[in-house]
Amino acid sequence: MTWQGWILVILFVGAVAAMTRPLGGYIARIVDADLPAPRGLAVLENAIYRLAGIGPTREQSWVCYAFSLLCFHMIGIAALYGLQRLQHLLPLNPQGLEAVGPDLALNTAISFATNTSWQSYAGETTLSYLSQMAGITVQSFLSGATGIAVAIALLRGFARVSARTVGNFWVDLTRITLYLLLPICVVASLVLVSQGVPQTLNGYAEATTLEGGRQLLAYGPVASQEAIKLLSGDGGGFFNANSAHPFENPTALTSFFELLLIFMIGGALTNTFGRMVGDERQGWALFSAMTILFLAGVTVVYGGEANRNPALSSLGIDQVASLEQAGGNMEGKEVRFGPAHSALFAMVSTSSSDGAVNAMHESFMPLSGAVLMANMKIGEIIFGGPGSGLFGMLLLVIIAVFVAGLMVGRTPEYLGKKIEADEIKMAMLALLITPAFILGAVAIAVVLPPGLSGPATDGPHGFSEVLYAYTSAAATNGSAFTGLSANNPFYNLTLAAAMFGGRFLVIVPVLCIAGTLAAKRRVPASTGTLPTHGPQFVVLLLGTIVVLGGLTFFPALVVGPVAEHLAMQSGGLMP
Amino acid sequence: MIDLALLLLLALGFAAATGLVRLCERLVAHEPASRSDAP
Repeated sequence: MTWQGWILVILFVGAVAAMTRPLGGYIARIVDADLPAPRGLAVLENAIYRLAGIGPTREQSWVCYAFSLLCFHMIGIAALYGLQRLQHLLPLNPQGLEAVGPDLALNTAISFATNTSWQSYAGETTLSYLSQMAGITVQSFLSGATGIAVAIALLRGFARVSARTVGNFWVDLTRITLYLLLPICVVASLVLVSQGVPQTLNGYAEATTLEGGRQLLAYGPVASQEAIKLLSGDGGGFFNANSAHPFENPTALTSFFELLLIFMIGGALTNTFGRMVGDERQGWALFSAMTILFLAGVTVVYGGEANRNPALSSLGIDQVASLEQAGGNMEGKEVRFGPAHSALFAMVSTSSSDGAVNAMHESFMPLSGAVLMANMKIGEIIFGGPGSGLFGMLLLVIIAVFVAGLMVGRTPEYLGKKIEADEIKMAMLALLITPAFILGAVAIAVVLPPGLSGPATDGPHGFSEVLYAYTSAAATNGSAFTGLSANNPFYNLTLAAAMFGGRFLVIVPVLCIAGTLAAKRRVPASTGTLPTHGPQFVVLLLGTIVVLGGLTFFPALVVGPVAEHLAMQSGGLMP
Repeated sequence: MIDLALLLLLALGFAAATGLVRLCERLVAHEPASRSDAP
């Protein structure tokens, strides 16, 4: 590890912390309809309500909110599916790309509607510009806005007293898209264009190489997709190589900027939470817990990638950092990023639900891979995807206060709301759905022939490829161990099921908790009330996360990356 | 034909999700202590 690498990490965490309060306050004003909107956007907002027949002041119960959300996304999935299947007949297809195959089209449609962006295809050779812009990019906006909307509904549950409603899904979706995602994306796209990211509708460019050969350079409307890909926690790249591609992420500066885009809303929502419940310290407590987990993960991953790879050392390869090279485990990493930036990007990508990559996670050291998987397995609660990170963390908070209540023999409370059987049942349901999809699907894939045909290698690393894929899908992350051949009906359909379940079946109990909490009265704090804004609670929360995540996933990690690490340390990689 | 089968699969997923909404609604359809006037 180098001091420059640690300065990068510290600068990044500092920048996220600096943005948290102003952006958190802005989001709170958006969702409270407290914002004097720019005239143009306000006209657009009202026009959307009129066209769609939405009463902006009409609130919904959690059940109605959930039905609205589910119906909206089912229509979105069907539309994106149809767009891909018919893209050869539609305009904006200068390369004349064929229709996407049915199982791949369904996988992709569910992938982007669930904010996962798992890509079993190479974008530049599979999707037309119309599919990329009207399909992928639109779903990136809408799925990101949905995650934030669900988190806001849950925050209203904590904030409201004896209420029967948790907001209006259509209004939340519209305002978050118009006032939060769109403006930031416009600015971010321009910043990316200024750094060399293409934005064009022209067909691919043909170039003559230095050797005199001819090469087709794929490009297109990249910058606009790149901005929302990062901001919404979606992560689906225009190119197969994602943010490792120089047209998506040309410089170290753009890479740093992209990292900020991924974390900025997740971090800011902790402050929105504090503001909505009337105590910003509550938000900072969650921010602290997230930061501690993040720095612990960065230490392991950066340490692993900056040190020498024993398998390469035995071949006499120089891996020491010097003026000539970044050093460390550079397999699968871009020279312009090096191990520090690659490790930081991988941590941010898997801690959030983004899944964008600027290096190949498959080539990370085994324990680094284990940490990346652990980030997703504990629910991507370290800042997390926009909204989904916060509501995932609040589920764990509910479990933590329940455990604390059991220890002292009091009915658990959080922010003046009693946490009772209903909330615990729903929190456990939401927390168990993702592991059920991950471990269940992996168990099926590693015994059936079509599943066994996917991994590029046998042994623990091959198992890790399968485990990573289903973890990424069910946690709606979208990144991959790239060795897995997943573009076949078995993987396309089982991964689609994992993405669907990991998103929508988790959202339902979260909204249910919002509804039950909103209906409750607030209990005044007493001397027996557990303070939830201090270090004591942060430690309790971290312990709950580690124990819950460890008990659920440690056995699977032992069979994959841990076994691979031990084999590597003993001098022989397993077959 | 495959398109129809896959869209049917999607409809099944939708049915499962809406079924879960109804199940959750039923599970919490009672008056917990903190919502009632009971001490």
